Amino acid sequence: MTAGDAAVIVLVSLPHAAAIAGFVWPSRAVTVSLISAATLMAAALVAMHAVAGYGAWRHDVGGWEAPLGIGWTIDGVACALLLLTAAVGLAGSIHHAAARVRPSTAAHDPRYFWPLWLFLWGGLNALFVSADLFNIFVTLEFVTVASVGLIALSGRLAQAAAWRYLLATLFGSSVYLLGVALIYGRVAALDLPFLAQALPADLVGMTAASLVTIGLLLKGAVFPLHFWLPSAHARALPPVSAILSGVVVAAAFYLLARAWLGPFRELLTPAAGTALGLLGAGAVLWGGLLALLQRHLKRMIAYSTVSQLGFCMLLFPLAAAGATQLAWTGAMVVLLAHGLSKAACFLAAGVIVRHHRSGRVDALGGCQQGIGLAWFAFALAAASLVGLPPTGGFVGKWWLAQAAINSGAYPWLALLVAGTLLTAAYLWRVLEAAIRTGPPDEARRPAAIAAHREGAPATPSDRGMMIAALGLALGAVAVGAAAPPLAPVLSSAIGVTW
Amino acid sequence: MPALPADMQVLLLAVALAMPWLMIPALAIRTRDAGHAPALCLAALPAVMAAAWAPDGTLLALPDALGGWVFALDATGRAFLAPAAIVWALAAWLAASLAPRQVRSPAFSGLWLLGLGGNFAVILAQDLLALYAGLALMTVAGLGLVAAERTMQAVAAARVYIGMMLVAELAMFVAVATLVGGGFSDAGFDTVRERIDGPVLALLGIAFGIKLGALGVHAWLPRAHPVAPVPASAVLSGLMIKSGALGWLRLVEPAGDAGDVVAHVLLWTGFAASLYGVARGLHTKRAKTLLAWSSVSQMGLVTMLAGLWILPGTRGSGLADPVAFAIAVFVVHHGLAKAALFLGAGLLERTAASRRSLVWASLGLPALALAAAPGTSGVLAKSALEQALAASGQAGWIVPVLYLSGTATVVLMARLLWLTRSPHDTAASSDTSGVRGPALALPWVAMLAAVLVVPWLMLGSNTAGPTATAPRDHAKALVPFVLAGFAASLTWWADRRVQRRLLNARLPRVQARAVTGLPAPVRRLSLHVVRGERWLHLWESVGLTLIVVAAVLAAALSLG
Amino acid sequence: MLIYLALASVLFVIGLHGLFTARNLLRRLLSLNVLTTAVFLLLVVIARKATPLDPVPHAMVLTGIVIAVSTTAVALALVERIALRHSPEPEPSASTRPGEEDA
Repeated sequence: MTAGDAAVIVLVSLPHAAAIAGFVWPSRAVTVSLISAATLMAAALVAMHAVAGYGAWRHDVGGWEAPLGIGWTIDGVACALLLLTAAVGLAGSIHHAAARVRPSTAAHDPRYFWPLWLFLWGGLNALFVSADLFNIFVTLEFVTVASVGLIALSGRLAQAAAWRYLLATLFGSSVYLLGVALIYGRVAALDLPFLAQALPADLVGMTAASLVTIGLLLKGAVFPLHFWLPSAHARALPPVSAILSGVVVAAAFYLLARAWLGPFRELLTPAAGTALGLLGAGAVLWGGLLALLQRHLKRMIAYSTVSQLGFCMLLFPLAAAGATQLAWTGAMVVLLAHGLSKAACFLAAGVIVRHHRSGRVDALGGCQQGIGLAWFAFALAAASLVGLPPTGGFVGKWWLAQAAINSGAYPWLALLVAGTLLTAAYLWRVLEAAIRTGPPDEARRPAAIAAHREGAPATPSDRGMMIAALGLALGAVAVGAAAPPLAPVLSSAIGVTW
Repeated sequence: MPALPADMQVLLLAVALAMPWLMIPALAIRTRDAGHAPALCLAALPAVMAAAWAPDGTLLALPDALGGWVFALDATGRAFLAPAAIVWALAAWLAASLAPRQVRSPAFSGLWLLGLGGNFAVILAQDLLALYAGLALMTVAGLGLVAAERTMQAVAAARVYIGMMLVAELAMFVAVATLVGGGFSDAGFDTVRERIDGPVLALLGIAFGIKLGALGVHAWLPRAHPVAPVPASAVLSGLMIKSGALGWLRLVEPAGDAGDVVAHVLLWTGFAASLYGVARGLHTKRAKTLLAWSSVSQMGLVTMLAGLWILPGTRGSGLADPVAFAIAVFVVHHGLAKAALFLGAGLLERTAASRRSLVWASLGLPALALAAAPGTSGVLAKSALEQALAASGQAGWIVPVLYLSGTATVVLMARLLWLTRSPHDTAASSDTSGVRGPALALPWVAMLAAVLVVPWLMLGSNTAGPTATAPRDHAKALVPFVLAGFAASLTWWADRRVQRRLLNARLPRVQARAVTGLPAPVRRLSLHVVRGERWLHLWESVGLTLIVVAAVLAAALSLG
Repeated sequence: MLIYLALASVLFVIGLHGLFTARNLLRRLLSLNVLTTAVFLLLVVIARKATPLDPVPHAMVLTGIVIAVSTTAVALALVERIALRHSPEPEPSASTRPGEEDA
């Protein structure tokens, strides 16, 4: 067994073992979780190193081969997403450990956080390496259950949001499973590498592709099926919002990309690509517009997720137009940079909202009094979301723009520009509130907020949370430097047809 | 001065480029009196040395960075680097006294270093990607500098600034993405220049025009420059706006086939800006706002030169090209003079009454330079402009008209001195406790010396380029002063009320205002958007949306 | 064979309809279960179609049933929590403006 194999086994099994340990010994849960988080980060780095060094490989768990065994494919994209999960997971763990939610103040039993958190992490890791459409269904359900639990323990209002999320995503899973059943009925195989380009463009194939797509669109909250996302993401605890917005939604897109460029490659005609791209365009514009109209910081960030995921959807029309390679690396870099910066936004927002005792954007006047670091993290993350060079967001959009120019698809380039303007507009609203020394409507401001606006100096707890956010934001910037040399690694994807 | 060994030259260039970034960790240290000012000043010093001692053609290649970045110093670059390095260094030195609160903040100092690093990278870049990255860094840093005072006015100005800059950035992004094919390689200026066609030229024009504050897209400039802290205004108005001109010089092919129409549009816009800026500047009572409008006017002349750049005509290469030479002269001359004016105006507000008249008189020096008094760098700039016009065959009608704009500038500078003759705000001038004489005197004298000497030293005896100035030029430079004096005495004689009315006429005031409410159609639209979103959230409509999405997918799949 | 396929389709449509029209939370959950059952039925039909009998869909159905039971348990726990709070309308966004909900 090579180091890469060992790392992947650790990545999938350690979170589950740690989750059980944390459930059985709640008093040790924080220690266990932090140690596992660090180990998982190291394992993800080892796996990435193995892929960059020796290329992608396949691992059949326990030596059982397909169709009955569980197959894992470990390639560059999977490793990049494993690394993203590890980064967000580690930062979220530090953030939550530093926040020290006390049982008396929490609306839930805080014992459940760490097991659910680790189960979610393990489910995501398993999802990214799964090579088989049915195993992906299983891991998707795993992720769903853990996410719903995490949202539900974030408070009473969050439970209603968790319910909507649960129904939507369970329905999405069922539709996805129906599609998978049809695929199996048509080609009698589920293995992704085996299925490359395999689905024929007949009625069953089209129906199966549509069903799988709809299921994943629901899970990925792609416009107009994003109805569950804003409440669920805005009401959860900061680390939960971070991993949901940064990674869980990205996982759905990751599967969508693998499916359309793998089994459904034959079906990805210009018309189909345009249809998916139009959904993305709707997401970019509608999500951006609603982010601009939000009054609460966390809701704004949640709508921004809807909008940013729309950029990734440009992969399909651009791949259909012939610029597959560029569009793929571009969409994946946007996905990674968005994951890191969005998680950083949520973690920073957690500190900011806690500090100001208000989540209203116009009550955030002034970044003085010790939480400058949180605002710095937010600003860095915003720079990456907008796509300023040399951040990760810039490199991703650069490649998407290149793909659009090379294939002559100028309307998508225009969408990229319009979406960037919207992104800058809603993020500027927040930063402007931070720069201003006082809120504009001094008189109308509730006295309670006025009393707390001065705020207390940062506590060690605040500092831990801010460092977690800053680490992620710096990661989003670092993606910009790392992506160009790692582009070949990103386009190592088993079962994807260029 | 003996020539440096070759590897020392490269090292000097590398240190000049890297120093702003190396100074970022040094922000952890803060001196008690001067905050981060020593670090900020130190960050620009290697660039001063590089501008002085590194010869043309010093080349620094970074093959491992994105597609292999190349930085080099050439004659054009030196014209931008010298004033930049001097002004960044002296403004930082003066910032210890002029903006003591800001240089204590790591955020402001960090943004300052970011702007500094970006500016040097832009100047020395020899490929499009490095230029683009540097411009973006400068833009972000500029935003921080504009908003540094954190007042309502500063934030509103920053809003206009970032809005327009974002348009410029996006235009630039699309242009760069079109020009640089494939990944991140192959972005050298020579390669890229070949690929520029009509639409890309238009995008570049928008981007650089906004950065330059050309008439029509200048709205951010008079708002943003006055609200920044004094040293930041100096670098914003003296240096950062020049990056647009540099981009034009580097990217757009001289005498290319862009067409006469574009060139003439630029020529006329520039000329109009040179008068309009003065007219607006005369109607303000704040020295910094006046100086910002003067920048609009001066950048108008640069816009004219940008138009000449693409006109066919007899040309040389490098600074032997009269148009490139004229732009270089303007960059050095205006960069130093305008920065000195901003710094001097700030200095006046913080000088004790006993020394005030001395400082006020010394402010006359850069004012005279900008007004092109005989013997100053203004004459150099003016004669270079005339030669550029002559070389492009445009001398006929413009040169006489230029006297108009020259006269206007004289009047504007007189107005500046008039406005600053007595303490504007007693409260501000009393706040001189932290200001020590030598700390202010030394950099200020250095700044004045730079204004007087550096342009002549660099470009006065340019052997490669067009011959500079003749005594006749200095004599001709008196004409605007005579005209201005004549006009002034005429109004004085005629009626002091006329004068007052002229100066207090109510032009639409450019003032940064907070947006209190959105216009009704936008509000209605947003209401519809929110209502639509609420509908999408209804559980029953989810079923409908699903059906629609399924239908769209099915239709698209069956179409293919 | 065809009759099972038809039955699966009918069950799917019933589930779909119930999911989006029922107002009661339990009914929605049950509709979802009906819908999942339809998918399982389809899988069994696919297994039957092959010669010799294909065991893979059977394994999928068994795994699917385990998952469906677990997710239903989670959903029921959540419904109970929401019901215990005496919240008459579990859909916040249906009654308030999306922009006005508190974080």
